[in-house]
Amino acid sequence: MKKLRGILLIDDDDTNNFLNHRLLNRMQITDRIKEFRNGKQAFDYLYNISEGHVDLSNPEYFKPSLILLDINMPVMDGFEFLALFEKLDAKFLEDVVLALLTTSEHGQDTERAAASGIPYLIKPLTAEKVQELLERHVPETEG
Amino acid sequence: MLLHQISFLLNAGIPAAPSGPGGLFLVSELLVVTAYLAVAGILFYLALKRDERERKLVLVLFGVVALMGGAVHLLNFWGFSTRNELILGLRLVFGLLAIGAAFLLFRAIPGLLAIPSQRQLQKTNQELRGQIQERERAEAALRETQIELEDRVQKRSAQAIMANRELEREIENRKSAEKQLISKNYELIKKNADLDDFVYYASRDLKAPVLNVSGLVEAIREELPTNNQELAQLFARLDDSVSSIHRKLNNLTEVSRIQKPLEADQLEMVSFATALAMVQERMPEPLKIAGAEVKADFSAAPEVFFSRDNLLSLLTNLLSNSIKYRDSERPLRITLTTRLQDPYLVLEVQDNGMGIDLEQYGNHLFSLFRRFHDHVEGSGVGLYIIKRIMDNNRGKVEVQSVLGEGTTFLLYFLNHDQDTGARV
Repeated sequence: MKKLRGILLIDDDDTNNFLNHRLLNRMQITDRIKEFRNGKQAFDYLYNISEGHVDLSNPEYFKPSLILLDINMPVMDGFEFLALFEKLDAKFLEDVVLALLTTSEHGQDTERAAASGIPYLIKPLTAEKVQELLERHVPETEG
Repeated sequence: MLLHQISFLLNAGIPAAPSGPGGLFLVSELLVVTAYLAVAGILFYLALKRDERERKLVLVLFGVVALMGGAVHLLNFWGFSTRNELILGLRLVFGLLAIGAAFLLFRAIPGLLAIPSQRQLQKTNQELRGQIQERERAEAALRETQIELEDRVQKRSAQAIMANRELEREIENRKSAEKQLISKNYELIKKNADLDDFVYYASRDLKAPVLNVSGLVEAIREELPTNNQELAQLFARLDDSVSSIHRKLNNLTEVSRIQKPLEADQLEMVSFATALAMVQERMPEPLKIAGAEVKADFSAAPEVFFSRDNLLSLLTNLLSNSIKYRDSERPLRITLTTRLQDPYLVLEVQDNGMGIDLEQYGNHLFSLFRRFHDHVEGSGVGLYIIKRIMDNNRGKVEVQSVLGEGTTFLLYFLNHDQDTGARV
């Protein structure tokens, strides 16, 4: 299976980031995983990369293939992040998959996610859920 | 005039007065004449002054008789010297006139009798005065009564005004009480909504740490050797506890979710068959484990104007209730039917399970977090959710049950039609 360029985990819950990080590491689908505690930090990071403001040879900076975005966060929540994210350069976004992570099966967040047409995963994240997401949205990982 | 008449008579008599016995006769004659004429004069004068016709006539007649008497005596002065025939004729005329007057007087007797006497008049007068006094007394009494009445009317009006004022005050009080009630009601509604929100957000926010715990438990399990029996048991219990917390939180979220009022656009015509199929698809495992046979006949009323989400929740809770409280002695059979029973659409869900002792538990059957069995997993929210959903939609739930035979839930949907439903 071809490895992904990198994954961003955006969630204010440290333990959740830790567990997801661990899961993805064990799945061995990428070598680069980066965690952010809120939408603002993640957006600044992505903006700088899309505008070429950073040196991509630095392993700290990479363009992700997959972004897992929590909805409830301080400073800038998932939907606010999403609104800015969609304004980034279209070419840059072409090969970036974004999925929302939510805790509840019902409720406003889920409805909003479903309505926006963006894939969403119900926590907890499992290997099966990640696999299914990649198969559906990242073609080169198939097989 | 009378005096003049008398003086004339005197003047006429005196020069003719002879002396001697004949003279005495003449003097007495003169006195009689004078008396007659004076009486006649008085009577005429009285007749003139009296204003009643009857008395006037009588006085005039008396006057005429007196005058005639006087005239006859007057003739005596004349009679000794001059023509006897003429005197005799005059006497006769005067006598006739007097008789005539006397006759007329006789005729007038009944009229005179009719004239009341002075005493009678006085008596009548007195009586009249008495009557007048009585009347005055009556009038005074009347006036008093009137005053009393007026007084009473005034008092009554005053009372009425007072009562009116009291009423107005009462109305004001009621109005302000009503306002307070409305504001209290509003506060309560707000508080309820806040509570619902609180439960919703609390259950949602607690979910993340619970998920983390279960994730961490899983991670620890992966790091530990797999051949330790003791650890395996501990982990099994840990898994149980974590999944129990998780289930309870989900129930809380579900309860708070159905407590939110429905938006009009959430209502649509929902098919019972489709909804049931969806529910069965969602819970294949429990149905299979129970070996349940689900029969449905919705031909009498295939659709209901309702929230799809709510109908799914109703059916899920009803089916899982039947599964949980099935009788282990026989395979579970659940029968679902609908029918119209004005003004309701009735959904009947019948099972052949253990049944419920309604006499003992009936009152608390639909209460939140009440449980009547401990042999199965349950949280005490299923029936509460059913009742809440029906209440929210102005419907109702009824339950019939025989211990050891089974239970029937009857759900009454009001405004089940698209047309009537829009008015909700």
